[in-house]
Amino acid sequence: MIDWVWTLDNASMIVELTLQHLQMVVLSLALGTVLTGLMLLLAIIWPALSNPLMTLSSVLFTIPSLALFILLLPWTGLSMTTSVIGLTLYSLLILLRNVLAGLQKLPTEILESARALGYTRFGRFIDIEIFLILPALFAGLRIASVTLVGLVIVTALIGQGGLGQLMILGFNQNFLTPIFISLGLSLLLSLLFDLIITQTGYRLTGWTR
Amino acid sequence: MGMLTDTWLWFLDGSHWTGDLGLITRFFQHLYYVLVSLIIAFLIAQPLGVFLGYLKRGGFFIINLFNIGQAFPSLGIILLCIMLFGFNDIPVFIALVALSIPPMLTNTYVGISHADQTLCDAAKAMGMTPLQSLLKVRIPLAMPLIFAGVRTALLQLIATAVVAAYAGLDGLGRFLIDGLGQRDYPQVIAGSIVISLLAIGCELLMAGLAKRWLSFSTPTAG
Repeated sequence: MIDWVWTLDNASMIVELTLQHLQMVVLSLALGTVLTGLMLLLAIIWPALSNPLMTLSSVLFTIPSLALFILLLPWTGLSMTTSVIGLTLYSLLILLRNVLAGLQKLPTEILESARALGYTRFGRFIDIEIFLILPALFAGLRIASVTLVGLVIVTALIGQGGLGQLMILGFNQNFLTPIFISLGLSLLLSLLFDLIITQTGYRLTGWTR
Repeated sequence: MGMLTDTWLWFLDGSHWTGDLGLITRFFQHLYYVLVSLIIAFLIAQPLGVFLGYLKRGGFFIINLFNIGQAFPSLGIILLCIMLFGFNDIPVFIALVALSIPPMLTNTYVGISHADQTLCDAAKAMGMTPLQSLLKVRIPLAMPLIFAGVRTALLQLIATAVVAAYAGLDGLGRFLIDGLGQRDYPQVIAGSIVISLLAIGCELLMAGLAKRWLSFSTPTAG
């Protein structure tokens, strides 16, 4: 079923595409996390923004991925930038929804104690809330990473795509091996991300146990 | 911003709207693929979800199926189905149906198996047969989750049917794939705008229906 000779002959290409895939996911996840932090700050400074932000994220999230990437074309063309912006937007939407939901579910007693201790709104966020929403953030990161590994594949249709290029190649040459390899590797990548994120979250949120 | 003006001009050209390759035909083709796949997947996923949820069997299997389904890229599944089963619409339908079963199955399973135990006990105490309590208590209680599953599957199908155009499926995705091949960007962008509007419209419609029919809030399964 899998042509191992071909696989060995093209090992360097496969490794390179896997690394490109990894790079795009990590870059977009990191940018998405930073942007989520900024949005969160905005939502804390102006609490009235919280609901419109939620609505905007869920509307943007319904746009099919390929269409979203293409709607960026007039600005950034068929480039890596387009893919990374689109992927970042998706991770931002997933993370923001999780984090804002987490922020709204914080126990009132803790927030009131903080207030009684004399915390300002901003101080409370930096000292207390930022830690308490970590579980929600990590839950979001898990979903976002799995989604992104799949979405990078779609960017193959606009000339990027990491392992997605392997899929296209297999399809165009009517050759199953590259398709199986890219399916297997992308599954492996999402398992890897899931494992790393779960472990990091587990270590950082010891108080939840 | 020349590309945006060109896109606008593309929309103004009446010949892009009518005919076999026009927006209107392809819009309905897209809806047809999505709805047929949704209905087939619904007929498979719902009875199975209700049955397994009632017996509380196979939860581990279903949740994992859902997670693996999330991790598998839809483009890969479609290309694989085409290459294994030949070049026509049937393999694409198989892939679309297979991809939209997990969200519905998971939500229905969770909704039925996690129905409020007190209410189920009350139904038993009132003398309802197991079938009555399933039909009159558990399924109505699970409706918000069942509906949320259908909603997720619908949006996923709209997006996947776009990607499926790469494998030769008709529908709105053709504007994107053909346009990219011909480097005709106004056509690509116009297609993307129509698809986005379709997706957002469906989402708003489903949200409206949920509000109207289900007095509960609509939670989603994790």
